[in-house]
Amino acid sequence: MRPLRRGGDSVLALLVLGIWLLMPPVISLFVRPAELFGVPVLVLYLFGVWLLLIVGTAVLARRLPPDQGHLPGLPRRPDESD
Amino acid sequence: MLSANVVLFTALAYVALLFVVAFFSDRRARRGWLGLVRSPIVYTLSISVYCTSWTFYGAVGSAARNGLEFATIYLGPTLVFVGWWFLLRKLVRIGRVHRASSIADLISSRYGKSMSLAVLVTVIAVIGTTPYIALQLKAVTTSFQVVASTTHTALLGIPEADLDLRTGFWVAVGMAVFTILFGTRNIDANEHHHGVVAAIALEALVKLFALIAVGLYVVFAIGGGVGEVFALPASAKVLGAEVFGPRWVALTFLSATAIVCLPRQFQITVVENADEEHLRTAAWLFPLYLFLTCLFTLPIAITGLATMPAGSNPDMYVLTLPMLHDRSALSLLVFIGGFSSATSMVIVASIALSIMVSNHIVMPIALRLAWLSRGVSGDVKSLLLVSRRISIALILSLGFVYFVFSAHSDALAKIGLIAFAGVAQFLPCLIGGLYWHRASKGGAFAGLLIGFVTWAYTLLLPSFEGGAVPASLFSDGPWGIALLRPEALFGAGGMDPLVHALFWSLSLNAGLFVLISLIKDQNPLERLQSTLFVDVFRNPADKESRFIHRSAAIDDLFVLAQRILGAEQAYLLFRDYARRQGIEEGLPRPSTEFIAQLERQFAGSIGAASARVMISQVVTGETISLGEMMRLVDETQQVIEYSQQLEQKSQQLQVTARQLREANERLRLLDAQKDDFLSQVSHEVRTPMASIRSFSEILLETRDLESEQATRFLSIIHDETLRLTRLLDEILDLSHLERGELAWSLQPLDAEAVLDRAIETCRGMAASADVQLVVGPRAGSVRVMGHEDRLNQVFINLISNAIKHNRSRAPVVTVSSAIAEGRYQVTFEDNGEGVPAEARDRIFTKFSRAWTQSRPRDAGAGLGLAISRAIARKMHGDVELLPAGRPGSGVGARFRVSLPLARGQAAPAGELERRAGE
Amino acid sequence: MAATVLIAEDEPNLVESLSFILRREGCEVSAVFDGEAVLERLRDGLPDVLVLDVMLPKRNGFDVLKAIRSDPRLTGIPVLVLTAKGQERDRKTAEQLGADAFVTKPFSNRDVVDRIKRLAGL
Repeated sequence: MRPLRRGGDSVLALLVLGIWLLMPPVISLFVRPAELFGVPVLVLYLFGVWLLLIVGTAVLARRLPPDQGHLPGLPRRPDESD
Repeated sequence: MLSANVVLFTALAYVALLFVVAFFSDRRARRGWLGLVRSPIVYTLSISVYCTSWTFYGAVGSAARNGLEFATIYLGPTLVFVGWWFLLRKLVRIGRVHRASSIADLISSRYGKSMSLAVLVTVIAVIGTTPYIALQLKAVTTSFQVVASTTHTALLGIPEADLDLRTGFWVAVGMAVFTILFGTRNIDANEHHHGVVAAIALEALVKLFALIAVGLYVVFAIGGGVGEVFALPASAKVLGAEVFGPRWVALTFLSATAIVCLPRQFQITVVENADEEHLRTAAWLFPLYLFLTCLFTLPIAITGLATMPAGSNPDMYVLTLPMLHDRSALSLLVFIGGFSSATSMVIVASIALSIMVSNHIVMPIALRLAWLSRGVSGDVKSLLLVSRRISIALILSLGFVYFVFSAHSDALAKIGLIAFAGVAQFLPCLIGGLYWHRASKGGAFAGLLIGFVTWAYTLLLPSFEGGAVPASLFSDGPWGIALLRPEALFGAGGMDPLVHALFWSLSLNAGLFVLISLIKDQNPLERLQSTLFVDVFRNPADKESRFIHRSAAIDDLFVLAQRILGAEQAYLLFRDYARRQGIEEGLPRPSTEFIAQLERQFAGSIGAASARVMISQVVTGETISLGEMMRLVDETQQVIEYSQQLEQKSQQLQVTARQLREANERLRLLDAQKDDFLSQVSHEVRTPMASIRSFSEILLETRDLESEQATRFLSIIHDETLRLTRLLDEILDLSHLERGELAWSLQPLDAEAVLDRAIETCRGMAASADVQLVVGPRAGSVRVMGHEDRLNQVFINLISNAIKHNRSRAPVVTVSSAIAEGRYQVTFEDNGEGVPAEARDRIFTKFSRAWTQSRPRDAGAGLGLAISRAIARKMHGDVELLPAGRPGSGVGARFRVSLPLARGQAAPAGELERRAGE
Repeated sequence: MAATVLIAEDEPNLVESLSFILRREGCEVSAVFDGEAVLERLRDGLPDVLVLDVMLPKRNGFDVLKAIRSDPRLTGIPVLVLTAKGQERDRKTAEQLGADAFVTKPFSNRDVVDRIKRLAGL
């Protein structure tokens, strides 16, 4: 996949969306006795949003550009060999 | 039922397994076989040290009491990891670049390598963490007693009074031994505790496996399916809890803060991070771990409420549910899972705290009391190792003591959130330090202090209510001052105690932090560090050497390195650096860069503040170059400005492109007009030329032409040449007028006299065309600014037009003048057909004769009106076509010339009166 | 047999010169001065050749030509188009509308006479 040029923006969008979806006024919309597949919609909603954030982050993490000059593990000590 | 011996044996075997895993991982890592130990999955699993026994047992208890509220503790960290790109990525980069050994070290390093700040953070961390360790000891003790009990009453939970403190003691001892063995093998922050991390990762798997196993058992074996569980009446009770309010937000925020600020999380996420790219995987894998951890929490809580005997402790449902159904193996697995979650927290927390205590409390004292003046190789290292081992023992003892003293109250139950709120005090100075250049040491210190005090007063103190603290403090306030009641500070009562404490402590903390940072200037080192931290993605750390110039004797440095790092490692480090400088044998040159690198190396071992102090002891002539630093700040600024400029430029380019397009459009229009004009001129020239050529050819070729006819043809040729000349004159005239090359001096002149002259000139023409030329009402004497001959030209043009184009049977042309609206106005009116509506718009354009119905012989080229208007405008006046009269009214075309009056021209009396009446 | 020529031209001088040279060749010449008059005159009878100026008052020459070519009764009249603009665009328009010949002012008398005779089949 093509790396995102302005990766931070999409992460921010997902984060803001996540926070919004988890705020009381939005969650409260699902506080009702309805059920789906025998599971209360409130539970489905909460865990659904949770899963959405996980999948979204996984997709974005793959597409975000690699860091410039990141520090990988330190080189092995010179006197050590495999 | 399991016997205590079986449980004990299993637990010991499990601990032995952990030792083996840790031992072999360490050995593999030391041999360079990092492989699995350094994988992102191990990294993610180790971060799950966040899920302690408070999660393992407590989440179900919380769900049974408060429904979905338990989820906030895991949603907060999920959000932080979703936004990893902004905070965690920066935190890890800074931690690695500056070799931060703990969160205290990072904060201290950011604020000018401040000793006092490190001490304060360490103290808060110890106070916040010790009760949490006690909580783990209690959980292990309780669960051990439950699982190993022989009576069914144990299913109700073990009453606090019956807790067997010996279990807690031996757990503490065991953890201390493990931590000391694997957590203090070396002192360098960047030489990770591979053994510990591997063991923690294994424990993470065990606790998750145990939770999922018990979850599946409860849902499918006991409950009979997901739908059935949620159909239980207890389900409605659990989900009916009203939890979506301020406390929901506060708890989510608090847990998000905790995942960043908890010392053990910092230890695992930042200090033990082996590769920054691992964060990319952890960003989604850790939230997934939390998700799976919470998946069965609700079903277990619901089933527990529905099936366990009344009075059972919900905090033990995870364990007691399988026990109720005599599932010994599953119970044992659950016990081990809970044991894992408790021990992993204790191990990592005590390592993190011991590093902080040894680096930020023992080291500074040692430096001040000159314990280390002996200068023996490795003395600092051994002091640190010893102090870390003692710290671990002390911290665990402290935890145990806390456990003993609070074991018989329920104070521990709430300690999880209280600890979170305590370490949340690090948040303002941590975030400020990462993103705000001006954040200063004074601000950080004051904010932390007030936040900590407020937290202790409003949250920690009330947790002891009924014990050592008199109840009157809470009902009346200290010394009877109601405004200072711990749970209703400044009279803000009626709030959830946690929300209340969090609000006051964090707002006072952040407020003071910002205020003092704005007031107080930073010292040079602070300013340097703030730039290196905030702009970490732009500035490599080794730039530091550009700003701090210092020199030292290489021998002194070598001795220092030997003391801190040990002889062998110091030798290797110096040899490597010497080779990099091109020196094959001997010591490296003590360059500024080398000293900076050495200081960072030391910081990884003893903390930034102590490293700086120790380096300063052997360094001479240190100067921090402010100029260089300003340049660094400038460079950063330049990069920002440059990118802004680029953005601006591209906007400007767009604007320019648009302007060019518009200009091009105008040019194209002008070009079309020019083409049109040339084509018109061509037509106007070719028509008389055609006559001239045709008649000339007749004259040349026809021998027998009658002389009368020949004379007529010659006169036509003559007329046509005159017409051509007139046309060219007009074109030139108009061209000059339009280009404004004609410079006339405008002079006051008698406009009425000029009009009279023009009328007289046209009388002959009118008579020969049988047109009646009538002079209507006149303005009387009027002076305007103008050019006499040119004005005459305009008048004649308009009168002759009216005469020529009048197709009426009894043609009449009327000329009248007046002063109106402060201007001299002359109106030329005929009784012809008027200007056709479709031609009105273009009669003032060049060659626009289209409105004439037929063309009389002596009509001009159609430039007359254009010229007249150009002349009038030169005199600041205008020529306009007035609106058409009604058809049949006898009014044809009406043209009006208007000119401004010359200055000093008095308006006629009538005009004045009319104006006065307005 | 003498050919009849109708001249549609608003410049009286040109009408006069054209009439002179055509009559000398034995043609019968009549003239009109605007576009509407052309079509009116054609109702009375068809000339052998129509000389049509483009810049005519009331209805321009191209317009008149179009009307002639779309009227089955008139469509066979040979038309010579006269123009003073002398642009390639006008020549093309004239061809498309079905002009039989195209002459730019100023013209050679000989040339115009030859073309008219050819159009008249003389």
